[in-house]
Amino acid sequence: MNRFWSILFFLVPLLGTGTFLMAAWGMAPFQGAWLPENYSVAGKTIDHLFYLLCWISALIFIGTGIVIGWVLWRYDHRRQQRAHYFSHNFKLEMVWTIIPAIILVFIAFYQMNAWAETKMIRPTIMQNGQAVTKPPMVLVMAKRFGWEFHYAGPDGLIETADDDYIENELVLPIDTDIVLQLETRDVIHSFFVPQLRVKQDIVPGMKQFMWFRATSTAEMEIACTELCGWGHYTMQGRLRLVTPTDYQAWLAERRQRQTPPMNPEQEETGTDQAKPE
Amino acid sequence: MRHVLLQTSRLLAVILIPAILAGCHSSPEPQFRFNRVALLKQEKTDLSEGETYPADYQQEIGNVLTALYGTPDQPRFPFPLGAEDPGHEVLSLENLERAAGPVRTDKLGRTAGLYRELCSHCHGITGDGFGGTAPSLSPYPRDFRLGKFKFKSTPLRRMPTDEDLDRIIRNGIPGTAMPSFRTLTDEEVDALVDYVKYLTIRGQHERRLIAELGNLDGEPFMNFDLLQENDPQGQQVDEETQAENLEEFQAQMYMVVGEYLGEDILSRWVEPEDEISSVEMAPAAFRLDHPAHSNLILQGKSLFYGKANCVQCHGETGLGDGQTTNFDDWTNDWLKTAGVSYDDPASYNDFLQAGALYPRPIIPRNLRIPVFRGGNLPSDVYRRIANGIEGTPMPSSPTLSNEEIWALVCYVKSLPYENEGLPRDELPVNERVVD
Repeated sequence: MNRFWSILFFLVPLLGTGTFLMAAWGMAPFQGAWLPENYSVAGKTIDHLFYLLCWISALIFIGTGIVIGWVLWRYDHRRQQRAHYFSHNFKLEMVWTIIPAIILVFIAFYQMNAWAETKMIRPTIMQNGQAVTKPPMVLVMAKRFGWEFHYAGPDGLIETADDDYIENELVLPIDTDIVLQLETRDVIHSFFVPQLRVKQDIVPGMKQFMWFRATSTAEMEIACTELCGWGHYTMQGRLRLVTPTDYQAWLAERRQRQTPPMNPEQEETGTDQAKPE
Repeated sequence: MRHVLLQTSRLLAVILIPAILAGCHSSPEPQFRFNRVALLKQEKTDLSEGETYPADYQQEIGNVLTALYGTPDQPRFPFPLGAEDPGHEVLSLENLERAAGPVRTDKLGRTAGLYRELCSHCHGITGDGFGGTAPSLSPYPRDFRLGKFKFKSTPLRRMPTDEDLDRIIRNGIPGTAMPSFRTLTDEEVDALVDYVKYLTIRGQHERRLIAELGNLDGEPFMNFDLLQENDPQGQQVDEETQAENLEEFQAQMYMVVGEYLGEDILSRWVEPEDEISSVEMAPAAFRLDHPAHSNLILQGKSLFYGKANCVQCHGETGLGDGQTTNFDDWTNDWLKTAGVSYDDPASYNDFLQAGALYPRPIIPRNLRIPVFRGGNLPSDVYRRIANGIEGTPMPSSPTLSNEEIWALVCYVKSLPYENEGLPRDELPVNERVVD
């Protein structure tokens, strides 16, 4: 039993790393615990950052675990070695300040583009020869407990009279810059699609924007990831990523449903009244 | 070292043993709750003050319903004619079994016990709209037992189609606590639709039996003594009387199952699709970019304030602040009982004790929010106006012509966006809030 505790401490890096590897390879009982498959362009950068941070942390974690274990093993109390007391060591402190600082500054600069592209630089479209920010194509209205997706009508603008909304189902085209406007009717919610590597809190009174570009067709779940009340768990939506052609067909069908069968005879009698434009 | 381990094991024992004991204790099988509110109402209607019907009746109604419908864990459905029974068109037993019972994985590896997983915490095990969360929701979750459904494609007093119920489950009801269950599979939704119908039919049947209590003169619904070969004195009953008794018993059984259930309830659930109300052609000006579109909106506006009198409830502003002292049918069902007054809570205390939810006036829809509970398609809004909404003060409008209804649809759909660009002080104000 004399080296019991040092063995316990050796187990920490061993089991910790083991658990991670099992999850990453999808071994039982950790199936599905790792990142789900990525479906967005920006997701590749985010995954790359994730793995980079993982590796840095893993090296530090394993190194620290081994050092602690070794110290416990080496200086076991039965060896009757007295500890040497010192109040500070300038060199040692420089080392453990400067190395983490370098790592942190490196990460801060290294991730800057990823952050800017997903959170700051909105996709643009050309309008009259000028690049302007792309207007949101869907207004995501979060509420207790569900999602309303208000699609822009034929005018291409949301929050106008020709909007069409669907409850809990979002259909979006792939290979297209998608811009969503996120709002909430009541409390704080959070829009989370892990497969697209996007997550955004939605705060009452604020308009949030989110953009991404999906790479392949799939069906996935939209989850609320801010505890918003008793029905938080029921706030599940479905996101269908379809090809742009299918999307246009789907949109046309929705618009068709928004237009009831109309009386063609009145078409002519109606035109004599000028519409104030 | 040893005493540390000893302490740890003692600590573990203190934590684990109660947990293990609690885990072994199985909770009792859930039961359907008797409709005491309906019984209390019937007693207040039929009997003089303070009198009650004998408890035997509650027991007998419970027995009849259990025999016909089973329990929450073991559903059954009365198909008296076997495989030929038209009841099979109404619902399938297989679906009921998938939706009923505790949450589990069935033999085919599918999730079962869907109703208890997804619905019961609001609608209750019995479908009485009295689940655990019910008192804190506004509007209250639906009590299925009245057999009334608000958002359907059929006219008033007709049953909803399967597709109507399917849509409510998938879309939810925006503006209420009913969430959308978009992630369920078609099979799962079908199972839930049938289970909702099952709970509704069971609840309707229960109410029907309770309503008959006054006509029984103290006799049971079904007198099983008639099947005995010996009379109460122990004498053998002769064959002729036995035959008569059997005939009488069959007549009693026919009343309980054939008439109350089959003729009065089930017949209305068979093919409600035949009753779907048609949506007539819209005028061409309904199109947003049509030159006469704004005229159609104006026509709708004048109807709103005039002939159709929407303004009475939905208010001058369309914010739903007009008539706000009405109740829906689920509340009126017992609130309109003799001797009960909304202004005097003491007069309906016994109803609250019996399981009624505290009465709240129904709030007319705020039409300035672009969300419609029964769906936002033009045909949905058309049906709400043309057919009215079951169980609420929203009436059907037989006096409006097709074009007038379309004009109203047009106006109502434009209301949320009517004031775009207006200065703030010209926007409509909810007077109740300003007071």
